[in-house]
Amino acid sequence: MIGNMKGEHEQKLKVHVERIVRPIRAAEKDKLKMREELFAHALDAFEYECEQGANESLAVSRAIERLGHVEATQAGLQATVGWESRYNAFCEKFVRRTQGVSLLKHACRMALLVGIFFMLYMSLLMIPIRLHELLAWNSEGQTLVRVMLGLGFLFGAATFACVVLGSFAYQLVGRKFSRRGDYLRTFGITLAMTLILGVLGWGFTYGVSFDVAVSIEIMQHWLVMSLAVTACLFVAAWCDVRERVKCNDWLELDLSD
Amino acid sequence: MAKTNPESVIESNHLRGHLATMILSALDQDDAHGFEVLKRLEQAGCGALKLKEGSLYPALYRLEEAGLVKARWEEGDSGRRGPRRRLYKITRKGRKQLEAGRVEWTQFAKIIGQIITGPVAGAAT
Repeated sequence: MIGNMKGEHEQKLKVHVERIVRPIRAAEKDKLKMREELFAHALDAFEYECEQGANESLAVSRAIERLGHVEATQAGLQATVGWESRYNAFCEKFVRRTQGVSLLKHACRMALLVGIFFMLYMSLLMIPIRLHELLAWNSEGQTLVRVMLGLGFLFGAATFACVVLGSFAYQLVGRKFSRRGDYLRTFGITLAMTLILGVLGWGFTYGVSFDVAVSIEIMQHWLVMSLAVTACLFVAAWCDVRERVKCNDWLELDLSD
Repeated sequence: MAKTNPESVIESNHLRGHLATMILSALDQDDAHGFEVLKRLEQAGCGALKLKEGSLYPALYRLEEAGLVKARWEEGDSGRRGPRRRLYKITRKGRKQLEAGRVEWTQFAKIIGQIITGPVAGAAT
């Protein structure tokens, strides 16, 4: 009887565990650990209750009761989450495409995030060097601001394209290749898009600055940062796939009564 | 597990502050996963101990964070069907903490026992 536990009883236990764990603010890998451990505990409790003579339905109810009240258990687990895990959860909230969020919305959010990040980066880099020009608000200062805004827009647009194209590429080739192969492919598309947009970006910066030296200088920064962004996106996507594959079963559970 | 008189059941609120020491004591015997720790505690308490199982894992995670226990996922060939379990093992630091906890509890129980069972009014005069 124990070995032939029905899938629906296992599903009830999983739903209860997910009700406890899902709202916890922690990195997904920490939450996955909690999910697996609590689920294993619930199954052990179920088997124990069956051994004590309870039928399967009663054993499931008792196993759920043993895990305790959802909010209380959740609060106890939340209190054990360290600052590092909370910080990762905060970052994941922006980088990871959460269940129910459309690809378009996620791509726009990522584009905004990256665009703002690069504008801030360029500001921190350029303002100390060109402060007097900015304060004077002469033509050079104005060009500088246009270039920074332009680069922010470009990086954002590049990120948008990469996220959307990467997702389509993953969906198109997902069935034929391993998940790592999908992401290598996505990485290739991301890099290609980055370089193509880089050429366009050079044209844009040259167009607003009409200065080859300035545009080359900006392109040097752009090249370094775009490769860094591509690498980060690749690493994030790789980690995301590994975690997501493990978490998918849990994240797709319907928790409504 | 032994059946006990419901009036003698010890609720987990009475154990606040001592759960960590109890868990370490359960792990002192051998490595165990969460459910096994619970069973050992209930057996040691002769069925009078009713722990809230939801409070067990936060306590285990705190002990792990403090370096008092170490955890590892059980091997894939354990022969058990279902999700893998996490096995906890007490560390050397945990054993020292356990000894300190035992001494503290013994003193605590002795002092409180003297107050509760002895004449308090006589001590004031």
